[in-house]
Amino acid sequence: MWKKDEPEKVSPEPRPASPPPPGSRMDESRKPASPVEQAAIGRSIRIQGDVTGDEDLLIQGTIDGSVTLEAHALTVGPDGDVRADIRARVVTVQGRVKGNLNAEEQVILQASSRVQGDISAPRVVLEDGARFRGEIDMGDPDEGLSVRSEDGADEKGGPESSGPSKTSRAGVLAEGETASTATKRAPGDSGTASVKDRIPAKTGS
Amino acid sequence: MSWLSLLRGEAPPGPAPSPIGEAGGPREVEGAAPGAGLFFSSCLGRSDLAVLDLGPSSAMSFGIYRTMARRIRFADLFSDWGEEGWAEALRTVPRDPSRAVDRILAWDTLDRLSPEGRHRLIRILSQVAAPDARLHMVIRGSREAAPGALRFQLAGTDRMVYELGDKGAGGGLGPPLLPAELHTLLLPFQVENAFTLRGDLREYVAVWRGGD
Repeated sequence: MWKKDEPEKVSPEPRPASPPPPGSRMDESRKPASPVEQAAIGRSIRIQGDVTGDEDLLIQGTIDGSVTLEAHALTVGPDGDVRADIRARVVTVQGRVKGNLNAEEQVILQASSRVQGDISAPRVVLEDGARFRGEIDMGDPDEGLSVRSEDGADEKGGPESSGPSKTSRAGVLAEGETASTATKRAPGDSGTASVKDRIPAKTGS
Repeated sequence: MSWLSLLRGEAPPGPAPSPIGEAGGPREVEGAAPGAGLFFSSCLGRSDLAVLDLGPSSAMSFGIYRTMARRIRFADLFSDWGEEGWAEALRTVPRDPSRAVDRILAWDTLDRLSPEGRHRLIRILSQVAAPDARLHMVIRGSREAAPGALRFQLAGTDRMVYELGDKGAGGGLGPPLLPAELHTLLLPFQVENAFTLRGDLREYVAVWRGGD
């Protein structure tokens, strides 16, 4: 309606070694003191084989094989199509993945994601609208499991600490709270679970 | 209401339920699910359970499962993932007793299978279930209860939201499942509680008694 004559601005393809845009989810999940190096695999790129690296990676293309970034973050962008097992520190999916996801810290399935495979991570975020088929394994509860409530407070879970009887999605019910009221979710609220002892403070979301 | 129904914990009959998706009727319903309340009350104080939800993934349901489970599987039986059929979604569920499933949620599942498919599903579930595993089901009270596939989500441990969805793969409905027929079909799961939900749906909680 306004400025019809102005040519439409097209976002450039993400370039290697550029930090994520301010305010992006990746930026939120990782806030280092120095700029983060991030490589990118563009939309027209197809890779058959194993991808390994020592920097963050954004995948917008197609990969068939495996992806291993032990200490770094991997993002499968909205156009990304990955048929591979993935291993990274943090895995964020906006596109399609068929394969198992193994993250040292966190897996985030965003609303546009479509994932088929098993997830192994101490902390998993499943956003409303994400499509997922498989198993989510959040590790051994004997290693000091706590569930992070949405207000950010950590509460201990597990049989020893659950109090007399009632638990809620945040682990323990407040006095006088019913199970149903405690488990009511706010609109747009996504499921998040964490194992406190494994998560560095900087990754809180 | 018969004394037998009372013993089984069945709810007294309420006002005539209105079908979901009927012309002018609701496409989405939220209501109390007393069976879910009982089902999840058996999980209190647990954080180590394994949950198998036969429906599509849901952030709302995941938020509840994660408080009690460390392994959560969404089988998404009837969505089109390019597979050959619903049973393929259960192929990867481990049969290993050490990885058995403690809680199974089967909402709008049995209705959508043929009689043979229903028996096959219960056979698979009994293979993956842990001793004393609990099964929570929602089944149509009649053929007219909903004209298509229903999508369920938990809105709390004793409330559910269900909406009429697209038919999707395997979205057809099998023949009506009568209560007496269900009790036989579910063996070795034994029905412990039954309730009527809004929208002419029936809710059942059953316990695996395979070890008896």
